[in-house]
Amino acid sequence: MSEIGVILPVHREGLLAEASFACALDAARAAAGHGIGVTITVVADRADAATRALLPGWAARGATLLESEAGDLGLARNAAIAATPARFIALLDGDDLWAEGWLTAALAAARADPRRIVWHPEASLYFGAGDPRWLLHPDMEHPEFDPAQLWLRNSWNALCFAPREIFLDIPYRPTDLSGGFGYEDWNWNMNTLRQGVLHKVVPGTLHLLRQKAVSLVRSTAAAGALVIQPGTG
Amino acid sequence: MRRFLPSPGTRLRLRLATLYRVVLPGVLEGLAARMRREGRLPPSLLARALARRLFPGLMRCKGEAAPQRPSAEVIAAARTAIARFVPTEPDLARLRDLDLNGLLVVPGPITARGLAWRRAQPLLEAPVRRMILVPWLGHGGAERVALNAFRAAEAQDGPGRTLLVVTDSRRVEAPGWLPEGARLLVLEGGEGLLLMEDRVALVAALVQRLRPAAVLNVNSRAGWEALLRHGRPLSALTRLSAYVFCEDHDALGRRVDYAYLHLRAVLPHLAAVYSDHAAFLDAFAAAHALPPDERAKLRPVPQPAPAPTPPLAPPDKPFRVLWAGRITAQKGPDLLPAIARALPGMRFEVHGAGARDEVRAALRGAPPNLTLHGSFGDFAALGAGRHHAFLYTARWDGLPNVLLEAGAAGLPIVTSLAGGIGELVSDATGWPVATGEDPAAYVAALRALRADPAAATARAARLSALIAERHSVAAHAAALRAGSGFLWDGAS
Repeated sequence: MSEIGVILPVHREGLLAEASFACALDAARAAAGHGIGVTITVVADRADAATRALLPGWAARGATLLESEAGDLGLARNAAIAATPARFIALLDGDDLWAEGWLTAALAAARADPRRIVWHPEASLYFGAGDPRWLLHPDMEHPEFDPAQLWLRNSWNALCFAPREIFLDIPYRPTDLSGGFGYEDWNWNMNTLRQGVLHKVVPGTLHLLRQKAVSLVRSTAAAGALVIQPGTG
Repeated sequence: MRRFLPSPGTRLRLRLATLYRVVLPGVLEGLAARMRREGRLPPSLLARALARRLFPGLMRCKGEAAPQRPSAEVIAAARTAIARFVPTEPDLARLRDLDLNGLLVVPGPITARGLAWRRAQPLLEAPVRRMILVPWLGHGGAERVALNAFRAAEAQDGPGRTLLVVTDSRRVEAPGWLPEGARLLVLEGGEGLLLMEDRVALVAALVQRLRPAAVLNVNSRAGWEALLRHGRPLSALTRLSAYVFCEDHDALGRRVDYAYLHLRAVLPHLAAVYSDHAAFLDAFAAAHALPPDERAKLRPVPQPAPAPTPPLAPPDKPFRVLWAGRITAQKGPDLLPAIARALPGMRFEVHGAGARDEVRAALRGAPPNLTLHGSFGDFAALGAGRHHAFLYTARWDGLPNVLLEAGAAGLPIVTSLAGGIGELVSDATGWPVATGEDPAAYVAALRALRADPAAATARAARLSALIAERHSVAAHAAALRAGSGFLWDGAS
């Protein structure tokens, strides 16, 4: 079992995905330099041909490849996590980037605090289509943290780091955009909170998230989707 | 790897570039969105929005937390990462020309929406079985309809299980109309900063947070817009219903009622559509050739009327005519001066309020036998028994509650046949006036009423009996309880 399993879902990112894979590979090598074992699991969920064409090269560079027909980002992550024996899971998406030091800093924080905690970077810098902006991830143990605000907006994006058993205990729920339910990460954050999991930040760490003119988040917002699904709390 | 270490001159250039390329466009886009949705833009808002964006800590609302900024460590990490990835990421190259400290920070200072939500929390702790949305709580007929539904829900579920939400403004003028201990939530974000999009988001959050069995919208704009935007998922979380009443028109004569604007779009997501009379629903169904399943959702609900009171015998003279309603074009108060001038032997006691200009224009030239008494909270306080007749002159309407109150009080009624009034007032139960724009028709009806006291008594008695039979509390609750409606508990 490796210490960290990096999960990288890809779908229709095409050549953009290479940057994310290379970033994950650099992070894994840097961690290996500190004696930390890292595996990379790529899950191709209904991936298009341009994205699929990258996969053999990634396999040659050490990635484990999985195929998924779920057509659902959360379910693809669930499948990859289930197939990845690791103590901790680090999520990356096929068009996003980690700044240097994320894996080692997150692991140090997680090792130092054995509670059930999902770790987030201090900030995500959104770039690409639209105006660049910062998302500052709140720490639930900050005195001004207000959990009620999570009903209005998502506080943390999906690119987190956490013990694998949290993901196994609380898997992502499927989304249903045609029925008006989306935001798999927001829904997961709410479910983890409900089950007593803490969300904390690793100070000084950063992710870079690509905003696309057409994206899952934008499609979800345009569909007027909600986050809480029937049959759930 | 080349480190990016800007000089002071470069930093100023970056700040100006960020202001021009990112900050100003963001503020202007936000204001443009507000102009599209709200239709107005107070001049102070541009300055305030810009100031809040540029100096987030300076113009905080009461209750706002201090704004956060990325730490120096994160800014340094970002500069390093940008330099590292730029060779393959052209989208990041643009960031080299901007001041990273000046970029928008989300979540930033807590928003008006967040403040409103925080203030609402104490009211959301206990379970809510049903939720009723109203735009405000004034003294209008729609508010009465909403409160009738509220009382029926509390009678069915017990007190404290129904939440009344004032969604569109902080206006609560009729708290006395609420049953004691009623759960009332007024969406209020501090300093009037809540935009309609905030109110829509708050309504959607309320449904997700509370998961009521049923939601009833009574003229809430935020409620209608939430249905438009989130109707499908909302209908999977709760049973949705709405009241519609009658056509409504703006000053230019354009239709602005929600039935016209939104009902067709959201009907598939609604379990029931109510009105206080049948004619409006029939007309909507006919206009859109509704298929049977959709048609079956449209249901008239008889509003409960006060218990009939035996009519008092007012003194013979003078002959007093009572008029009560909002002073607005819809209710036709501008017809009153001509009617009063033609009937100098009658006294016209006019109760109601409106915008000052509208009142002045409507009652210009009123003769001395017309007295404007101003606003009223409760029909019972108007002393119906001191009057000989009730006059109603609306141009468009539903089935107004004031007619039920006047009829239950035993007053003979002269009225237009707007909206659903014909379902209550006929030649057997009053003096309907078919040509509602003609003062002479009202004058003739009032003369006929005064000339035949026996007929006046008989018609008023028939009207009172009809109201007692049709507009009971039980009939009202039964209509709301019927198949998949607001009070239905069949398989929720």
